[in-house]
Formats: sequence, structure tokens, C-alpha cells
Amino acid sequence: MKTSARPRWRATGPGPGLGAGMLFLLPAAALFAVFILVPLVQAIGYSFFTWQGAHRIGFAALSNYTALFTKRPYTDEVMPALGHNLLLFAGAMVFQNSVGLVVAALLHRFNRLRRMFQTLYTLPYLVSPIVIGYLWSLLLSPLFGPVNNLLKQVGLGDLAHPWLGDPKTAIWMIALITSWQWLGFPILLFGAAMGGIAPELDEAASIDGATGRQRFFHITLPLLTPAIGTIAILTFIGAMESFPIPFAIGGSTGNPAGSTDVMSLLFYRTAFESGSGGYIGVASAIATLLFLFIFGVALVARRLMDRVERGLVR
Amino acid sequence: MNRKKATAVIALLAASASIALAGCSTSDPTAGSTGAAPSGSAAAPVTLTLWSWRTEDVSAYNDKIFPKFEAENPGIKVDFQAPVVNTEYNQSLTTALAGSDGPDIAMVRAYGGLQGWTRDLLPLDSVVPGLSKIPAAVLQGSKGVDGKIYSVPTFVQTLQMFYNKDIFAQLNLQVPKTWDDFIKVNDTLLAHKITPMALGAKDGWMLPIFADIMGAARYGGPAFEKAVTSGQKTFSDPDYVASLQIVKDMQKYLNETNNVTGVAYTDAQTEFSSGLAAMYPGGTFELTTFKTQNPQINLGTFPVPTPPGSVSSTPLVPAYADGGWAINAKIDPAKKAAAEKLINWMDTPEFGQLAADNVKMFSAVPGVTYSDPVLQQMWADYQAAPAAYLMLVNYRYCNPTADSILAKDTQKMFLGQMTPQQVADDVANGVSTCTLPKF
Amino acid sequence: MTALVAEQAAGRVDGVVRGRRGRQRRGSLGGRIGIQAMLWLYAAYTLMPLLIMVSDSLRTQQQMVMQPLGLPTSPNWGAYSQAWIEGHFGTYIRNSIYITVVSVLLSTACSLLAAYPIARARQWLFKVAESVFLSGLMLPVYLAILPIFFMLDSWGLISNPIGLILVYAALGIPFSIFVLASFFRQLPEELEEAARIDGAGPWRTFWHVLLPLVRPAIATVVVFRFVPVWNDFFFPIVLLRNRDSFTIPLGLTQFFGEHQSNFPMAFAGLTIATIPLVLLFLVATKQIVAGLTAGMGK
Repeated sequence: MKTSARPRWRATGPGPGLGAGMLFLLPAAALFAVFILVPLVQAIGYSFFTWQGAHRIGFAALSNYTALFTKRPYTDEVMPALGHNLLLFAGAMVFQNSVGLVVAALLHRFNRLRRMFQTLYTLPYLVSPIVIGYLWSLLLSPLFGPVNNLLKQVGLGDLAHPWLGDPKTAIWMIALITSWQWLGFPILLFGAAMGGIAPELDEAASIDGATGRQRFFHITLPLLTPAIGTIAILTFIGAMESFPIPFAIGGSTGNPAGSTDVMSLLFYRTAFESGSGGYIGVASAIATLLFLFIFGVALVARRLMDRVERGLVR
Repeated sequence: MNRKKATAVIALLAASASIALAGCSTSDPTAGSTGAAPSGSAAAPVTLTLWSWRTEDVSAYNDKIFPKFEAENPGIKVDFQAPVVNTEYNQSLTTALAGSDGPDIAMVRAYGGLQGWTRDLLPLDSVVPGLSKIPAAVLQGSKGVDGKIYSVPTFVQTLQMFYNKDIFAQLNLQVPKTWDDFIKVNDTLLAHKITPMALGAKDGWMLPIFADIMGAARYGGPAFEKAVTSGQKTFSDPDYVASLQIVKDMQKYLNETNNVTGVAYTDAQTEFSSGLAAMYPGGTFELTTFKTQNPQINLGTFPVPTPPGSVSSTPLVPAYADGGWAINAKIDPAKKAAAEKLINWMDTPEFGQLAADNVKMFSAVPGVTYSDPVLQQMWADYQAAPAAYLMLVNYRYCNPTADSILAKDTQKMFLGQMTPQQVADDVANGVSTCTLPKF
Repeated sequence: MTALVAEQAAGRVDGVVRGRRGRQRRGSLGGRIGIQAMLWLYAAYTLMPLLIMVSDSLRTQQQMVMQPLGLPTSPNWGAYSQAWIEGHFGTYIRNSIYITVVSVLLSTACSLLAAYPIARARQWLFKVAESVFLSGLMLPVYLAILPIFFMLDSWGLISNPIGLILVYAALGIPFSIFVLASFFRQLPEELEEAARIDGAGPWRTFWHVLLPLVRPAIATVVVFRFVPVWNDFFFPIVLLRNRDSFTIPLGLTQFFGEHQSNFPMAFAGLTIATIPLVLLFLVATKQIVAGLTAGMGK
């Protein structure tokens, strides 16, 4: 009866007690509160006012929020942008995480060259998004780009396409380029997680006659579920907040024809580039709604993952 | 039960805290001084910092233009900086002016783009008496919606068709004087597998410029501008729709015809300057770029001839004021006199001439002559038939801006997703909620 | 979790008994060659754009316009010297190193400390703290740019590396705690029990027992915080005005705006901006990957 009621200052089980725990927590909490939490709360507050430039000029209550769904250009732009973010998430799960999982599994077998491949695959992650944006824009340019040039030279000229100029392909290009940059991430994380699986489990199964594929699907994959879940959530957050690469490739208006527009570009454009000096209130409303959306989805996903994990360790 | 209540209370507190905290954070940061310039002795040199987005012109200003002022005004030093690139300038200046480390004088945008900063700038009506001699259409770009003047206009940009003289000479082509001639020129170039016109449609902002270059005469330039800004006509007017149809008809003469939305702005510039394209619809602000990319290029300009059915009987050259010089309202009082002196100097033909000669753009200040033959041609064409670049001059005061709608919809038009009528209707709809300021 | 540990323990014993045969790889020769081919093909796809960037920096403008795909026949190194001088890259590199190293150290240290009670302590306070930190992970950081600007401005920290360091350190905390806490959780509780029985307090337990075991996680966290901080251009663009205080991404944006249509210079600048991080990573990768695999062997 007494165990859950009063917190203990000294530890009686594993882990620090309340007192030591709070001391451990303090530096991070202080830094986070001052530089993230307080500004965040203030910024949410901004969404309840009207602005001229960087000056608050009036109280707006919820009108900035309702404007998002009733006034142009937001009615034309909010939903498509959100849709594009979700497309980027889907693209990342397929081109980045699934491929990364397969590659990590393949690399798991080769001890000698594994480090080299891991380094190679992670190299694009190190490159600045500005560099990547410009580089790929040039590579895919219909005029001066080597990609279309190469296709024509090997006789696949029919496939040559204005990759970044066609609304149907532009957003997928961004998904592919983002995956190109981030592939190292799932490879390293899955690789580390796989390294944590005792090889004897695998060996025992193979001695029992299981093929490589059976071993992968029945032993490795289930044990990787926590890692998969973690990566999925991080990918979701990254896709919802994607900014540098769409900005570098499609510009702040999501060219062409708004097909590469994402929520972060919408925020940036609304706050700093719209007509007469910026609509910071509306932009803050956009970012707040985005935050709530991400939060809600991540919460639901976490619950689901917990349930799956509990099911595993039955 | 207790925990759930606690969570609810915390959420409620957080919500009200957000509004409260927003209130006490930054409404008006103390109007402190911008720098640590010591007040007092008139002998101590004052350094004025100037900001602009023209990274291309930094050395021209610091090495050629401002030294003249410094020589005439010992005791004042001018430091011209372009701290960030053009695309990030607005945001940088907004935060700089609202904070405490803004420049003393800043180059600001014109028309609608100026309005976000008017609270941070000094009104110049009484500070610069010479402003009265600037043409009204240009001066409008420096006015706030309250009617006060906040900047000294810098440059006027004109929009016309650039062409490569060498390519024309090779194919025995003349500068077209009628629409039929213009079409013939395009067809000839196409037949010889040279791209007639280079346009970077991927960067949507170029498209309203292209639309005005090709179509201003068709919809009737200044007359239409008056009608539409006073509410007599809307953008759905048949003349405006017809001008957009011309834009669509020109698609077959553009680089990568069906892929034109994949060509970036800088790619189109490179295409023209390297001689792969014969013509380039663009603005005065691109002249320096072409000359830098290819110093040997032999280029000229002409206004596009009037298409059949045009309301205007002569070709038009759309133009706009491209920004102005403004004084930071938070300027250190000790520097204010120096800043006012400098800004008055920037309204003189002397400065205008220096700027025009070194930066290759048209000064907004009257009384300047142009020695570069290309500039002379452009200026003469403009004087003969001036018009306003409709979208930028009049319709950037609200959100959404007309040019952002036109940009996106023209891309869709090139992609075959919208008809000219639909584009015109969409623009009309987008600006219908905007009340234009009365100057 | 304990069921899994028991299973692994049992497997360990069995494995030792059954011998080394299990080490032989199964699979046909064709399959293995196919896999190698795929891996190399993907490596080529990964590297090709970067190689093109380097090779194009050595060609001239005209070459690139006429023949988009080609090798530099006579390498033109001029673009590099021009880019270095006009681009002030030396200053930018120094600033980037300073800001990135200090902020990553700061955020990793604070997060390590915080991750321990979050993973282990039972009190409700720490669950709340964890949720708050994780919500920071979902925060679109650019939302808070204006308040942060005004705050730093009022403390005089604009154009000052300390301002950026503090902001980046704070930004790194959610992700670092996320990863570190999950690693802490995976450590068997028996270790802490044993330490407690031996009389060690929370600090001793943390420093001597747990810390060495999460080294792989620390390496991961450092790498995945180092790179985004190094490459970030959003905060520097608002918080740094003085050219001497610019970091590489900001300097690069500047450089780009001035030289964008000069392809060789642009590519040379891009290459120069990329090299430091690549070198660092190549040097550190041995430690990182060694750390990642060493910690797993137990």
C-alpha cells in the first residue's frame, strides 16, 4: 500500500532516487526550458495576434486559425502541402527505410567490407542540403543535366523527362533525393540493432535447417521491431518538417505549380514573403497546427508500438 | 483521477501562459541606439552601415560610388554591405530592424513589399525635399499606405526582350517591327534548331514578367491598369484573357517547350548568355549577369511588337521602381544628421549617374544619362512607351499577391492544366478581397 | 526483456557446444555475387553526384554548357583558389568547428545525465519530463525563431557564437535523450542491483557502471547531432549578421548568391564546403563503427 504513494528520495530499487534523479535532470531541463520551451510557448502565443512585419498590432483570437481554412491562399495551399508531406513520408519508408533494412541485413554478413560500405552509404548525409539541392537540380535539369543526357546516349531517350518540372514527378524526386541523403541513418541504426542480436540464435536456427530468408523474417525482423518503430516515428517527424531539400530544389513556392510545397515552406513563405510584410500570426498558426498534428500521430503510434512490443515478449 | 485532473490543469495553464507570455515578450523592444557611436565631438568620424540585397554590386558601391561622397564629406564613412543573399534579405532585414543590430540605412523593397517595414523607418517627406521631382508613378513605390514617403527610390527596372545580335546577323534577321515579323523570326530560329526564347518557368516569379512583356500591349497597359485598380474592370476581362492566350501561344518557341517548367531561372540565363538561345524576355537587372557570364556577348533589346487585336497601338515597356533607401527609425541620434546627408545625396543626379555607370541600372532620379548603348536603347524604348508592371506595382499590398497566383497558374497553363480564361478568373478571384491603398 | 536474456544465455551455451561449423556461409555463389553487385551499384549511385560535383569543379563553364556529361580533360584548379579567397572559407570553417563541437558536447553531456533517471527512475515526474522532451522532437523548430531572436538580442548574443551554441545544444536534447534513454533501458537491471549492493550511489553507478556500456549510443548521438548542426543554415541566417561570425552553410549561401551562374566556382565552393565534414567522418568512422560493434559483442 505504501509503495506507490510516497516518492522516495533515496533509491531502494535500480535507478536513482527522486533527489539524485532531479539533479541529473537539471542541466538538460534548464537548457531545454529556456531555449526551446519558453520560445515555443511564446511563438504559439503569436498566433493569436495580428502583425505588421515584426510588430504586433492587434489581438486576433482564433481568426488566424480560421483564415487557414476560409481565406485564400491558405485554402489552396494548406491541404496540398500536408498531402505532400505525407507523400514524402511514404516515399521515405519505401526508398529509405525498407532499402536501408535490406542493405543493413546484407551488410551484416560481410565483416570485411561492411565498414567501407557503411561509410560510403552514409557519405551523402554529411553533405549540406544546399549543396544537395543545387547539385541534384543541375543533374536533373532538362537543359544541362547529365541524367537526361545519359539516358539519351544509352538509347533510353524516351525515359528522359523533366524530372523537376513535371508536377507528377517532382515530389517523388524530392523523396528520392532525401532518401539518397539519409540512407545511412537506417543502415547504421539497423546495423547496430542487428549487432545486438546474439548470433547464436541465428546459428541455432540455421543448424535446424532454416534458410536465410526464413531466418530473416522469423528471427531478425521481429527482434528489430522496436528499432523499426523508432525509425518510423523519426522518419515521420522528419517528413512532416522537411525543409532544406524542398527549399533548395523547388524554392519557397514549391515549384512547379506548388507540387513540391510542404508545410515548412508554407510557414516560411507566409511569415516572411507574403505581400505586404509578412503574416507572422498566420504562420505561427500554421506551425502550431503542424506541431499538434505531429504530436497526435506520434502519440498514437507510440501506443501502438508499445502494444506490439509487449506482444513480442510474451 | 488526481493525475488526470493535474494534467488538465497544466494544459489549461500552459494555454493561458502562452497568451500571457506572448504579451510580455517583445511588443516593442526599447527604442535604443543602433551602435555605440560616441556622441559629441564633430571631429569623430561617423560610420554609416548600409544594407542591400545586391551582392553583385558590393565592390561597385564601396570602391567607386561612396568614396565620392566620403571625399565631399570628410568625417563620414560609408560601409555598404550585402550580408545575405537576395532570397533571404527580407527576413534578415525584418529581424534586424525589429532588433537592435539593424543597419543605419537599408535598401528596402517597393510598393507592397515596403509595408512590413514602415514602422521601423523614418518618414522622409521633410527630410528629403528633392523627392518632389521624382515622377509620381515611381514615387508610389516609396510610400506607405499611410501616404508618407519612407524611402528614396533607387532604380527603375524595365522589362523587354533581349536578343543576341550575332545570331540575328548570322541568320539575316532584323529586329521585328510588327507581330508577323516577330513570329517569322521565331519560326526561322526554330527551323535552324536554335531556341528562340529562353525562359526559366520553373521559378514561377519570372512568369508574370513574361506575361507583361508579351501581353501588356494586348490588354492595353496604362488604360487597363486604371480600369482594374479603380474597379471598373476585373482580370476576367476578355482583353486580359487574350493577353494570357498569347503567353500560351508562345510556348512552342520556348526552350524545352513541353518541359519548360523544368528549366530553372539561372539555366535560362546561361542558355542565353552562352548563345544557345537567341532571345531572352527579361529585365534591366539581368544585364550585369549576362555581361559577367559572357563578356563577349553582343546583345540588344527591343519591345515586343503589338499582337493583333491589341488595345494599345504601340509596343509598351512595363517598368517598376525597384526599391529605395530608407533610414532605420532606431538610428543612433548621433548618426542621424550624417544619415540624412547621405540619403539626400542619394537623391541627386550625381549619385544617380555614378550608380547608373557602375551598376548598369536605370536611376529613379531624373537627369541621368546612360553611356552604355544597350542601356540607352532600353531607356529610349521605355521613354517612348512607358507602362507599369501591373502585378508588382499594384497588387502586392495584400495576401495573396496577384503575381504569386499568376505565377503558379501560368505554370499550370504551360502544363496544360488550366486555360487562359481559368487563370484570369483565378487572379480576379484572388485579388477580389484586396482593397488597394489610395495614393 | 528477461525472457529474451534467458533465451540468449541458453543459446550461448548451445552455440559453444555445437561448434564452429555454424560459421560457414550458406547461399549459392551466384547469389553472393549478385548481392555484391547490388551493393556496389548502390554505392555508385550514392557517390556519383558527389564525384560529378568534384569533377565539374575542374571543368570550365563552356565545357559544362556544351557537354553536360564529361570528364575534366585538363583540370582547371583556378576555380578553387578563386573560391577560397573570395569565399572566406577559412573563417567559416573555424566558426563551424567551434560552434558545432561545443554545442554537441554540451547537448550530449546534458542528455546523458538526464537519460539515466528517465530510463530508470520510477517517479511520475520523470515520465512527464520524458514526454516534454520528446514533444520537443516533434517541434517544428523554425516556429520559435522569432522569440529566440528577440531573447538573444536582448542578451546581446546576436552574431555571437555563444548564442548559437546554446540554441543548438538545447535543440539536440530531445533526440539525444530519446536515443540514450532507450539504450539505458536495454541494459540489464542486474548490473545496477549489483552496484547498489556493493554500496555505490547513483553517481558512481552512472559513471563507472552504465556509462561505459552506452558508448555506442553516445557515438551514434554525437554523429547524428554533429551533422545537422554543422549543416544548419536556418538559425545562422537569422542569428548571425557579421560576416566574420558566419558558419559554412551561411557562407555558402552567400557565396552561392554571388557566383551561382559561374558553374566551376559554384562547384568548387560546394566541394570546399563538403570536405571538412567528410574528412572528419572518415577519421572518426573507425571509432564510431568500432564503438557500434564493440558494445554489441557482450
